[in-house]
Amino acid sequence: MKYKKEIQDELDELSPFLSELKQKKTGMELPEHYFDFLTASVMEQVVLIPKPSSSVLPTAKPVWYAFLFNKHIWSGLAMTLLLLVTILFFRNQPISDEPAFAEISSEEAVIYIAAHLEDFEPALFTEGDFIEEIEATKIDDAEVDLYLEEIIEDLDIETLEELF
Amino acid sequence: MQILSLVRDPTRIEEGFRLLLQQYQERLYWHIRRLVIQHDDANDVLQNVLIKVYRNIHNFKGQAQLYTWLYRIATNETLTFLKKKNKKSAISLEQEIINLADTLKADEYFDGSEVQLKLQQAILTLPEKQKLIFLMRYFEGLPYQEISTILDTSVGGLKASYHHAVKKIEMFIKEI
Repeated sequence: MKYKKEIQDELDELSPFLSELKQKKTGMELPEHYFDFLTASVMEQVVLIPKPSSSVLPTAKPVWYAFLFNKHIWSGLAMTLLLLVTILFFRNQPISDEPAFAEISSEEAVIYIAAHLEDFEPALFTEGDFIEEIEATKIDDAEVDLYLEEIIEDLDIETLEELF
Repeated sequence: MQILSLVRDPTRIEEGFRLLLQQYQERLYWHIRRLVIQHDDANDVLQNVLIKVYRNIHNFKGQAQLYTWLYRIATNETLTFLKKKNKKSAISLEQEIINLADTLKADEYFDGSEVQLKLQQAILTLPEKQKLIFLMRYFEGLPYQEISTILDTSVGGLKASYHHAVKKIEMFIKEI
């Protein structure tokens, strides 16, 4: 190799004495079959060392595995479930404890109003809904005339003068 | 690279590591042996290095060459071993040189001549970094660029250190 020659040339130039000494035996020796013994001895020791595979090389896991053991996914699902149950629970509850007006018949309403007439503001009776309610009862005109005559008879002359 | 693809596969890591041993254990052994000198020490350090490599091979990103990464681990482990050993003995450099000569003469795995013994003593006198650079260049024949990556030092600095080391060693051997 090129660099081996460079090393030798450098040494030849620096110290011909050491260059010559390099060609001779160093005197260092080895036991017979040392490297065979070394290989066997080292391999015996390394088989007892736990392999790095399990901790160092992670194995690929399927997608469902990640889903199954992901605490964020599970907490998100729990929150969503809680929210849905809350919504469903409150949707089935009545908004108010008062009876629904649709269930009250017109007759019941008239009886109630007549009994509690003093509790209502007079202006209420001029509002559209109440007039329509009265019209919807279909009172006969003759009954109205008769009712008015009775009222007029009950009134004194001074009151009649004030009205007209 | 076959070794890397094998050691990254958990089912074939041992097969890949066995290949790594076959390819690099000898070079790593000699790198360590030249630093610690004695075979028994080199064997202990090398086994620790290889176990460390096995434990960390999955962290190797492949940006550097594999053997550069292995050399780094081997060098660090060897220097740590030598520091611990020197701390225990706590003797002067002169005494260390004398001890080395005695140790090598008594070592059944050293059969060098007197001049080889002196070479080892001369290497022992070098500062740590100069010693590493000299060993990698003189014995292992590594190019400056690779030594620079292993030791994290500039190529210019390496050249200067190597030249100083060669001169010092020559002087040491000739003076004795």
